[in-house]
Amino acid sequence: MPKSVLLVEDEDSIAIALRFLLEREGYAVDHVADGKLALEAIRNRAPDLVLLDVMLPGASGYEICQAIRLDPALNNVKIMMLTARASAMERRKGLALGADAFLGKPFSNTEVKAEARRLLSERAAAHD
Amino acid sequence: MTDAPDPRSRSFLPDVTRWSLRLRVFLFFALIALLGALEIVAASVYGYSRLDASGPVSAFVLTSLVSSLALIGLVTWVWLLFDENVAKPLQALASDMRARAHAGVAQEIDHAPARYLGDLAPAASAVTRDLVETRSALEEAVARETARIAAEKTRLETLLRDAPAGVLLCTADHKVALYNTQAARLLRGAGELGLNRRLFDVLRDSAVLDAYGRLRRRVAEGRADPGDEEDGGAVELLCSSLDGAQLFEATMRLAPELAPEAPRGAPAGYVLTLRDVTEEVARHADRDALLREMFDRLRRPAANLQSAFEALGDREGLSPELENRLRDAVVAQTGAMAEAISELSLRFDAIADSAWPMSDMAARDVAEAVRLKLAADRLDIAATAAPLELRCDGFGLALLLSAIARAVHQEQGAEHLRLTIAAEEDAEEDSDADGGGAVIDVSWRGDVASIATLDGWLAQPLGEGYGATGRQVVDRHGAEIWPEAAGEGLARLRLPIRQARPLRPPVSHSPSLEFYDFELLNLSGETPQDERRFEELTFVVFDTETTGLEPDRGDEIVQVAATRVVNGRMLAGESFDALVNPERPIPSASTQIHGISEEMVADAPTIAEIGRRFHRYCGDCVLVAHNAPFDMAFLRRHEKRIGARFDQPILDTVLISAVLYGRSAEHSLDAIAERLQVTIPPELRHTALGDAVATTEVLLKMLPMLSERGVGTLGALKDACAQHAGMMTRRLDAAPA
Repeated sequence: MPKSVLLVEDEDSIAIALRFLLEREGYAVDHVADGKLALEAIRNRAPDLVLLDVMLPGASGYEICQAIRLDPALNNVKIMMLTARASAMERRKGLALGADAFLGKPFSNTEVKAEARRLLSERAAAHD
Repeated sequence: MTDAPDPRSRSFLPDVTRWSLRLRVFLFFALIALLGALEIVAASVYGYSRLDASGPVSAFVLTSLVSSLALIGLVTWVWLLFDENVAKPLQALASDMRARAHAGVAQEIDHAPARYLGDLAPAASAVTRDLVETRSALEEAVARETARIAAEKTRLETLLRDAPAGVLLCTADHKVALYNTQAARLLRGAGELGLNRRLFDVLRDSAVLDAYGRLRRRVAEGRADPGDEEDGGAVELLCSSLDGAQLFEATMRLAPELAPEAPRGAPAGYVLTLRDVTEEVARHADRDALLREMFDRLRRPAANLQSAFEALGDREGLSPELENRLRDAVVAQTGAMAEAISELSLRFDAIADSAWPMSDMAARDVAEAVRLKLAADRLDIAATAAPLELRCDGFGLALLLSAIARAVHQEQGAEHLRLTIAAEEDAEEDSDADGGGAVIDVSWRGDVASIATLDGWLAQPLGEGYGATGRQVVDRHGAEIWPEAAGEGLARLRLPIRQARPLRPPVSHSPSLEFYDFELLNLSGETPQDERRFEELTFVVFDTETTGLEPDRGDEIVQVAATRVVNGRMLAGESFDALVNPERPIPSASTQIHGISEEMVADAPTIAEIGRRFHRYCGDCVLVAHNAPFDMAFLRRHEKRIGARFDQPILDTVLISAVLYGRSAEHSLDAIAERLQVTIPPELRHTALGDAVATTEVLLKMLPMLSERGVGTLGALKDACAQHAGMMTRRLDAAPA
């Protein structure tokens, strides 16, 4: 079964590109554009990896990240945060709230691919 | 009726002490008249009875003889009475009054001796009592006023000394007459700053001279009242420290009102206010450079991308090979652009500083402010703070933290609130140039706050007229705040502060330290040095400790210390004290005397460096040492390495003592100190600074004595000492001071 990835991103152009990229890597990709709907989608599908933008309509990426980490049923979900303003402070905040990786925009496809692969293999290792 | 005085007796025996002085004097004269008449009658009767025996002539002679003798006796008796009861008490009263008038005796006048003088004694008493009372009231008023003025002076001194701007007052010939703590701090590294030192020992002269010239011309042309700032009495200038490492924004104002004794028309001194803008200017330059680089690095890839995309869009005549090359170019240019943005934004993060004014505030003061604000709402918080100084908006931060703590308590029902301010543990992640940051935690027993709740709190205005929300305060600090679990059922909110540094010890500037001398404004610097009176001279009194007594046989200096004397005062805040690495072993016998061991000087600079600093410290002052040839011999040997000659006038307290007390007296430092009642604390004796201070005190006592003897100028003193200079050569072989 392919690993499932949920993409939470409100900017269509980058969402299309990321979706294409991740599907080509062989992951099953879903896309949500609204912060409010995101958490529900995560609870329903319990994806292996969430790619989470920080600036979202409805609820902030930080809020969603914290909610995932507070829900024991979602223990195994890996979180990769993406943000346009990747200052060191924001990175610390993201990691403190339980994100597993934190990428600042702009990032290259290679970076995203490598991080996704690393997180999902960690998850597999934790599973075994 | 025997013991108790009978009240009725007064009516029979009048109280003589209550008679008036006039009555009394009248009674004396009445007594003379009455008894004189009686006595003449008696002598005449006696003479008449002897008329038969001796004949008329001898009877008359006898009569006049007897009456004269009796009259003399009578007058003598009455005089005695008068003297005892009137003249003596009058004199006593007079001297008592004088004592009270001049010597300040406050005791009441004794009435008993003057009891027969009627109202005179009580009247004198009343006058003197009134005098004493008036005087003590006056004295009290003067003392009160003096104390008030002294307190006011202390307050103003403190205010000026600790004012956040560097303030310098300079004489017309650019010598420093006042500098405050901030000025000393700003110019610490630039050179020697001190009273009566040249301003241009610390600041480059051109900008200052130019501004001073402009101000003087303005005043000369009557364009400005120098005291009126709005009239253009002040000029702004940019000046730099002597070494060029610091840049100051300065304001200069003429200050003629500070030297009222200076002759009319003499050039006025000026006040210079300094603000260090080095960092600001550098930051500005950094930002400019960053912006310029950003445009440079983005313009090219943007242009390349634009043309590549346009070419790709226009497919006509595009070969597959060319299309691939264009695609590659697009990928490469996008990468370059992304890389430039990531890198430049990181660099921007490092130099970004909000425009909001920040200051260095002790972490414990922030914690205490939060505690007090919450205590006002009857909410306890345990506050602990590491010895740190935070670069922050202290007031805003305290408002934010107390608002959060209050919200946590009210909305989460949290108990056991705790505020901790600690140093950042892993500073590498967000390191600023000024060394690590700090972390502020508000923790409690209970649930972790949700981000949504926290964002709600942060959106509230902070109140107290501060006019900003919590989020704005966080942003101003370039910070973030987030909730997290802290283990063992504890939750916390964490707020890192980017810039923090270890708490600096408070500037130890005891109130007694001299940082100004307005009289310097009245001194003219044009008198040739030899003709100056002692109070017009600046002395550097110094002492050295050495490895031994023989500079010619390789002994070296291990310590140099000095004090400065300006306008007859030793400046406690401007002393010089340095250990010197002698580049040779220190015999233990010497260590026993001065307490300086080889370990102590192992890391000290050599005489080349300390000598240079000491020479700079000495400037053009008059050098004074006890047994100066001894110390000078050690210094002179190294003049080449130091790169400067000690060609200042040199005085020797041994010779000055010889001028005052003659050659035969003992002239050791201890002996002179004892003679002049200068006590040297035993623990400071044979430390360079202790001995330098003692030598200074001895000098300050001897200078007025010299002036009294007519040796009042430097030149005169040099001549007087030269007469005893023969001692110098002899003394060179003697033990050092």
